[in-house]
Amino acid sequence: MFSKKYYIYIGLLTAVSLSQGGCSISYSLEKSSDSVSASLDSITSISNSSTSSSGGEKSEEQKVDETATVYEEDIAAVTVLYVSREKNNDEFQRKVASIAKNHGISDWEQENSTFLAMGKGLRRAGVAEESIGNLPYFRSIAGTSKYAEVLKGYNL
Amino acid sequence: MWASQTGEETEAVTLDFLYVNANAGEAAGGHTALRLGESIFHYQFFPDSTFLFVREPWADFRFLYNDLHNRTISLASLPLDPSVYAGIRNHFTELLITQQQFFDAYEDVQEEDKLVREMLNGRCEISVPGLGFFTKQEFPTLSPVTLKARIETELGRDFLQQTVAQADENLKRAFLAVSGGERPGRKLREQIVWREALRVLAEEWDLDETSLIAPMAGEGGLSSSGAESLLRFGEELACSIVELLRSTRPDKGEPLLLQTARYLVVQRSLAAGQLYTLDPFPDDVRKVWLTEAELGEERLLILQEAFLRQAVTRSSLFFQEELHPEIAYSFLEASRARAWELLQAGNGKQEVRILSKVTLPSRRRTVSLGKLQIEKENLQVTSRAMAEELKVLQEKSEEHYGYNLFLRNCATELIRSLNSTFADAKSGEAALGGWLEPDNGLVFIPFLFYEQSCTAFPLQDEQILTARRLRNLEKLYSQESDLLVWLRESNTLTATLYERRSKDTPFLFFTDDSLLLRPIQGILNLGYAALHGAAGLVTLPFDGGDRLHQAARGIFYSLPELAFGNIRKGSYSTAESEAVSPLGGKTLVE
Repeated sequence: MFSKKYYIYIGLLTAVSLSQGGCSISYSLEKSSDSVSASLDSITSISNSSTSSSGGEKSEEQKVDETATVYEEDIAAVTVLYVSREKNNDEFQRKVASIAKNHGISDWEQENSTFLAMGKGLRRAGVAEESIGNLPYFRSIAGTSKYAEVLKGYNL
Repeated sequence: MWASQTGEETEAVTLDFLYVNANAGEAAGGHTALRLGESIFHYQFFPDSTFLFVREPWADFRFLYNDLHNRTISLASLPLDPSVYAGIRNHFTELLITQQQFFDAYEDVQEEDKLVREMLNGRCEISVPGLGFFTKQEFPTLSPVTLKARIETELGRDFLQQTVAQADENLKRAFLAVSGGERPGRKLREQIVWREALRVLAEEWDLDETSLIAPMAGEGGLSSSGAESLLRFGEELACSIVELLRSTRPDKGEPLLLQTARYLVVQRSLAAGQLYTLDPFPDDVRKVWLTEAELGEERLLILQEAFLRQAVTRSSLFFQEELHPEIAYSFLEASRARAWELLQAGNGKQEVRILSKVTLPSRRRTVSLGKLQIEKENLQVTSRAMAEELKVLQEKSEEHYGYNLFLRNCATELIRSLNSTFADAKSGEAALGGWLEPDNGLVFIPFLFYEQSCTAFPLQDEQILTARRLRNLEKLYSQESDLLVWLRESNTLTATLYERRSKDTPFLFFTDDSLLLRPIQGILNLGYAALHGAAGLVTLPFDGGDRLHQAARGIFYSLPELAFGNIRKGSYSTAESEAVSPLGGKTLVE
């Protein structure tokens, strides 16, 4: 099926991958220092498409919107997992806080989209509207404007 | 057209399969990814040996791989039913969250273990995130008094005093519980952070001057509309502080410290008529040291300008942002800090801190709780239990998030992630129009993954995003004599589209655009690298073997060229629109 040359090439690629550690490497978690020769390159690597493009403003504006969208997706997902796994009130709030932090949000309770997204997650998890209040966290916010936002998100 | 672009479910949505071809350095065997809308999902190897699922914006991915790494990206689309599209995207998000939850839990146990071991030694020191922004002294301005007055108005005159006393009491009880054999968990740390946050407010601590990013030349002063926006944001922060004091969330101490620091820095900006922000660099930040030569490079000036431009853009966007002011403010904080840090390098400082992503400021300060009277026997039992738990978590980490070239790499895990969206192969095949298994022959090799995906699924509209050098080479061919361009651009000595970089290893000829001549050019590249190796032997005592190592890599990457293969393509350190021409000045290639 494959030619000999093809196998040689695959072999070489495999050898290269083995010697170089294979897949793409992320340095975002790297804590150690770079070698001196790579220092300016490291700075370039943290610049991104919007730093370099001439249409920076539009691209920057999109970044905030995209971050907000992805934040909502993440909150919906953590709500789905909350329903399907443990239902610990404190743990759920810590997990929401951890996600919010990743998106540059410190006080997630003041961010309305948090509760809308939770509502979407509850719907996706198959929770009946009348059962939402039975879940520990949602019981703790029942009757507040936050709960109203959850229901709004649920019915979107 | 994608759903995320149009917002209409009736528009066609696709799952795009990507193959990024090989180059020297990381992902030397090529790389694979999936695109859904404007998000890229792929697996990456991290320096702590974990192999993780990652989501990033398509624009940033393309910039890194296509522009800087100079790799060609092949992309083929699979049209999907919107419900299938949403199902895959939701599933991928859940995988990301599950992964994050695992590592958060792992980190929690590690910190808990550290705390218990310290307690066994009779000490208790806790690093409090956010406390490093403050210093204990009287507030010099009116605004913090306003903040305290506001808290008293909204929550009662004795609220802070009473809450501090309650926090102290709770802390004592928590220590007693730990002494009695209870696990400290996150709760003990959270209680300490909460008490410290309350002390900052009750004792009216001020901002530590060293934790601020000062105004930069080129930013200008606050406009009246900018000041209004900042005033509004300050008001939102004050509301947030009051609400956090009322909140029942267990970790409220940390955001309370940050919101208070942000509130104070906003007041500082309003008073000065210029923008100040908090220093968001984490304590364990990655640092690089610029050489004297790099400090004099034009590239540094270009980067400084680009970062400052981004900071100015982000401040103007923050002033206009109505829907998500906190996200926009975090973006502003990060970009100002990056620009400021790089400007310090221009002032002769060689050390540069690298902020690779937007992160909430969290400058820490260690709080010592003094000598503790703890039942050591109980603590030893707790410590042993945690050691066991850490061992289990480590094993799980290796099992679920470890890398294996053949069994767990960027291609195999991508297929597994996609397949796990569906209950079984039959339903997956019905939804995707095809099916691929991760252990299907040589599918672990990225380019074969892409090839097999093209066969297994009804992919359409294949696009090739040509690597940066080849893309620009095409333009030169259309403008000048083919022979002249080929003679000049085919080698690294006279090429105008490429500047030599040590990362690319020593080589003479680009072989990615010359199939027939490849073995001959490969021999010359090999010889050139060998010559470097000989020189490396001479310089060995002076450079610690750097040159010799680069030469060995050069020889290695020349080997596939002898068999008509190509890996090395050269790479770039600057963005395309900001490339410095060999003659000086900016080259606007596009």
